[in-house]
Amino acid sequence: MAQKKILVCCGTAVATSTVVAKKIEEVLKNKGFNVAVEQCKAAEVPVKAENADVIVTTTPVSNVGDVPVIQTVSFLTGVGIDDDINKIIEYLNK
Amino acid sequence: MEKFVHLDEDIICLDVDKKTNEDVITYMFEKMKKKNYVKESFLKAVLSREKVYSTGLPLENMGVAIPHTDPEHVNIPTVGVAVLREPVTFQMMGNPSQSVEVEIVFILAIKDPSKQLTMLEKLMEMFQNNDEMFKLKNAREKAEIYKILDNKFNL
Repeated sequence: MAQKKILVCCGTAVATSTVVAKKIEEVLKNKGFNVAVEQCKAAEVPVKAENADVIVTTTPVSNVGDVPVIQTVSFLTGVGIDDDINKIIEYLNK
Repeated sequence: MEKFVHLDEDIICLDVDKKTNEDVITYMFEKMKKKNYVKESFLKAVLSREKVYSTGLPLENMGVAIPHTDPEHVNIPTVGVAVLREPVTFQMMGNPSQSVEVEIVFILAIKDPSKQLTMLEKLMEMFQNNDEMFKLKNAREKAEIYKILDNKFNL
């Protein structure tokens, strides 16, 4: 499978996207996915979105074109995390 | 080994009695500023960021918040902890129209995100551990909280 790109973003790319990016990378690599995870600020999303297969964000983002967006805090709180991982996988398999 | 974060009982506060999230953040900022963990500009930066990118997180059994801002406002990486007497309202991260009743506030002073990644991961791990969160919430001594966090961050 070709490498898939996941863009992870939050308000300032200081705290939450760092943790979310690492977590997603871990989980997906363990499941055998070839993924590159990049983090960025919400404001940078419109520029970075076009190369991404899916965007995972803790904060609302706009101008992402056709790229699917999963907005969630489950990677921080643990509540609903499995559903979100399944959603990411669904998009990666498309 | 260099510690990931500097923990300090002077910025762990129990039974904090404030009405609003701004009051809690300001109260904690003053303590953190006094010990030079953060710069004067930290307060304004955190408060304005909180308005745009709110940090309330509804955990399984309680609400917490993680106010923070850019590294340029930080001198020494640390976490200030305020356990509140009564919950205060924060807006939810990513969904500001939703309110979260927050019982513990963690003020993150992040100097270098890559170096503090372990601290952040451990913190999120703790958020997902109901027993640990319950212990933090019900701690009667600052030392109890210090010990829990130190075990997490600096092993």
